[in-house]
Amino acid sequence: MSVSYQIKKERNGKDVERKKVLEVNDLSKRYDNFLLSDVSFTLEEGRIVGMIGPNGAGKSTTMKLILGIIKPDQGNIIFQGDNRLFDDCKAYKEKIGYVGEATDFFSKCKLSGIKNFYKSFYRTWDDHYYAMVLERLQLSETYKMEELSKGMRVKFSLCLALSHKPELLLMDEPTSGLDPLIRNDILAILRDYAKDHHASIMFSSHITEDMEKIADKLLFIYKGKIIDKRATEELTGKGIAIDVHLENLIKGGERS
Amino acid sequence: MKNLLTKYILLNKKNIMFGVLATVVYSFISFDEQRFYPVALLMCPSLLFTFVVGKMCYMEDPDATQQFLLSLPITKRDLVFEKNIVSYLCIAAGVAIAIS
Repeated sequence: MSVSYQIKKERNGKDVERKKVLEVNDLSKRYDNFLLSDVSFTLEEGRIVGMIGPNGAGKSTTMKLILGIIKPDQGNIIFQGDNRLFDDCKAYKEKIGYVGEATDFFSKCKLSGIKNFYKSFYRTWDDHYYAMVLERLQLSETYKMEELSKGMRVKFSLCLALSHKPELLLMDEPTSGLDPLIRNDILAILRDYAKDHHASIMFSSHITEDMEKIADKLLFIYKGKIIDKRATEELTGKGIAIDVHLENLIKGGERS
Repeated sequence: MKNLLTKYILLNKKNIMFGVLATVVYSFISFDEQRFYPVALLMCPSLLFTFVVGKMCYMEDPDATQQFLLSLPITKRDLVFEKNIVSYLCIAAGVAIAIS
């Protein structure tokens, strides 16, 4: 197994060697009315990457490809030095946490039952950490899933996804439709988790404020293609709003 | 696979109990007369199957639940295999209740 490293200049100007956790190369997937083509990017340890793009741009498809829910037509996904498309996906998935856009799964079941079912799949499950996050998010296990609001369901999903200590956390529009207070809670937990566990986080969102708050790097995706990749600082440092930059990229692409 | 089977105990316990109860009650009613014996042999496994496997399929039908399950360290094949195993178990248990 070969693990590659990347030298990155940190915010304080120092060069820091960071392990590449995920490397996606030329990933493509064709549907009848949509083509995701040549998606390539890398994700380093302890970094938070935000994926931004309009509806139907290919954000969820990219997430599902990385997670192995759907198979790509071409390309490869290298996780911690191994090409995961040819390996046992179970061992790979054990190291990944996922919070999907729809969180009303097993709606008639109690949270404690769902938790016990979920934890049985992960050897690295940490009950203390779960209890701590649950308390921090002010959730109780006595509720049924259908009794929770959307914000609480996202919090619970996040709680599950973090408690098995994933090395890579994938979040598909976790903060859409949530009020600013809950969004801030969730972002704070994500930031702390990435910092404390040196985990990598990749999340997609339409909400550019969230990206500005926590993302180190941004991937702009449009019509199934990555149209730009850059550090968040590059934009915020120049006072360019992320949504304005995306709009300019889309307009520029359509003109050319 | 073992983990997937625990799903029935953890998330579908109530329906398993109802299923067993309905099957037992039905087998008692139909055994009043010998002529209902073939009906019991057919109905007991069907009832148990409906309460256990049918209900679980209904619970797993929404997209959110399918995404949740597929994000776990399992494959689609495991999910199908688990349903087959539980289906055969329900049929065997239903027949056993009917003839006992």
